[in-house]
This record gives sequence, structure tokens and C-alpha cells, in this order.
Amino acid sequence: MKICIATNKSDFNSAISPIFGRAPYFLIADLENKNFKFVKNRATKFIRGAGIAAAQTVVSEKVKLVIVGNIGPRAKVVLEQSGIKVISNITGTVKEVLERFKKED
Amino acid sequence: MQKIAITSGKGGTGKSTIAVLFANKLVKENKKVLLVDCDVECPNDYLLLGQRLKEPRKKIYVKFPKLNKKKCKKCGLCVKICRSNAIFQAPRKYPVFIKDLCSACGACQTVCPYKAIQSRKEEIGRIFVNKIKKNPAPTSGTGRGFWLITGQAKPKVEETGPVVIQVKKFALSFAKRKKIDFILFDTAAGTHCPVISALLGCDLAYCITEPTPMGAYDLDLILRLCRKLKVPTKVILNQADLGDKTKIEKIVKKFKSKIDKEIPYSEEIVKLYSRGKLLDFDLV
Repeated sequence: MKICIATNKSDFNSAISPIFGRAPYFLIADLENKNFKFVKNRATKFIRGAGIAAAQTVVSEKVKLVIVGNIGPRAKVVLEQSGIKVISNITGTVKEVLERFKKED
Repeated sequence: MQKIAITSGKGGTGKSTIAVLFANKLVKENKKVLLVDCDVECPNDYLLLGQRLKEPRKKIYVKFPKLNKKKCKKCGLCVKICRSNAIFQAPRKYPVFIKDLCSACGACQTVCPYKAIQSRKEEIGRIFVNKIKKNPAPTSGTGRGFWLITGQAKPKVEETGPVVIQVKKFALSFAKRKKIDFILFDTAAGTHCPVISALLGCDLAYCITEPTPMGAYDLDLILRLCRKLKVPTKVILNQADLGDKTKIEKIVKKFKSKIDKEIPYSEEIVKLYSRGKLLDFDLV
């Protein structure tokens, strides 16, 4: 399964981003193929509609799940309507979140 | 006809108060004046003038996009063109329009090769016209009044630039009919869309500020915006004797603008304001 984690920096020790729309990076993690890549979020500088633009980026990566600290109402709705599950209210580093996710699976 | 904007980066510097007093001053000089309240999210010039907004003279509509699924081929061109990020499309799904982000610019309709985007009219605001009958003050010179046009956005409308554009259009044709000498646009605070829409095409912008750090910071922003829009500026320093104005003077110099007027703090104006007798105050 492919999942997305919003992150502050492009490395595994970075904290998970507290926001979705203007999160600096998205980690796209393909858990079966052990394929990980950080995607830059082009929406960080947008004045309005950053959540929608960020969701567009995430959706095009064909992920099934988004993990983030917090997410705006618009982005949440469009992600869920696209069949993507959203888990918010998560803190910690990317590494910790990944391990916790694998354990709880 | 002179088109003058009364604007300020910072809120609460006295835009509306000065706009109203300035209109009154011009009337006393025997000019035909139209004051346009472009602060459509919270218009209050009518309150300062003791007026009520009754029947709207005109309703403002915009055309929001609406998808015809029969014609849509899901090509995604509309998503790419939208500068407001108001269109979302999941892979192989129909695009979704998010109304509260949409500025109704029509770009998606223009770009759609299959003519799949139709439009849906929706009211976003109203225009009111008030005649301010002669100055109630005994000192009033001519007894001539002036016109007030008020733009008001509908509650919950987030993108109010289009409201301002249409209010301005209405005001300009109104001014032409009435052979107005001075048309004053009282803008919203800030440097965002509705302010830009109000400033565009003006012959002069009075930028109101106050001698505080925030007043200085926001003056820099508004002067920068006016330079970009090629609108000449003059600065009015309100409550000029209260703070430290060195920062303001520096910024004014940087933009080659000038401080046109310094208005000292006055308890009299506050009292008149709260009694709804603002027009009794003489702006020199």
C-alpha cells in the first residue's frame, strides 16, 4: 500500500508536519516495494487554496492514506471523496510514525 | 472627472472618517462629489453619515462554473488553468469546483475544449445609493449635497474582488450621468484583491497611516502596491502628533511620495464621530 506523510523536512528524522496544505514535503511511501520518496509541496507559498493544490499533488501519487498533524476541511473532503483515508492529530518524527504504522497496521 | 482612492494598508487609521470629511470639504468648495464605499465586506460610510441602506439599486451577480458531465472528457485542463486552486480532480474522476475559492474569472470555461463547463448565476452583493442632503452643520457653505454609493458583499462570500469591480463600474457610469467632478473610492484595509480592484485606474491614492510601527510597516506595503499598479500616491498622517514619525518619513522618501497632510489627534472629532455629527468637523 502507498501512503503519504506530510513532513517538515525531506528526511526520516524530520517531524511530521502539523499542517497539510502548506507542509513543506510529502513522503510518499510504497510499503510493499520499500520505495520511499520525498515530494516537494508546490502549494506552500499559495495565499489561498493551498489545501486543494496540495491534495492534487498527493492524489496524483495514487496513495491510499494520508497521515498529518492537522488538515483543513476542504482538503479533507476532497481527499476522502477521492477514496483516500485521512489520519490527523499525529505527532512525532517520520521514522516513529512509520514504525508505529507498521506495528498497528 | 478625478478618480481618487482613499486607502491604507493598516486598518483603523481613519480611511472612512477622512473619506467622508474629504467629500464634505470638496462639496463646500462647490464641487460635485460622489463617494463610493468599496469596503464591501464591512461598509460603514453610510453609518458615519447617519444614513440607512434601504432598497438596493442593483444586485451583483457572478457566473460560477458548473460541470456538464455528459460533455466532460476529464482532460484536466481546467484544473491546470485555475489560479485560485478552486478546481480539484482525482485521477480518472470528474473535476470538482470549490465555490468558496472561486473568483468566477471564467478561465476554466474559456479553456475547456469540449465546452463542458457551463455557468450558474449567483448573487454575491448589492449596491445602494444614498443622497446625502446638504451638510447639517450651520457652517455649511453651499448647502449642496453629495452622493454615496455603497457596495455590500453578501455574507459568506469569500472572494469579494468581483463585488468591488462591479460597484466601481456602476459608480463610474453613475458619475458620468451626474457630471461628477470628484469620485472618491473608500477602499478596504489591506493589499488584497478587493483593495487592488478599488485602486486600479485611479488618478491618485491617498494612503492614510499613523505614526506607529505597524502603521509604518503597512504603509510600505500599500505604497509598494500602488507603485505596481502605477497609481500616484500622497500620504496622510493621522494622529500625527502622537507617535514617532521618523519611520514613516523614511518610507515616504523611499517611494518618492510625500506627506500631504498631518492631522493632529483631536478629542473633538472623536466626540462628533460618536454623536453621528462627523460632518460638523472641518478638515482643513
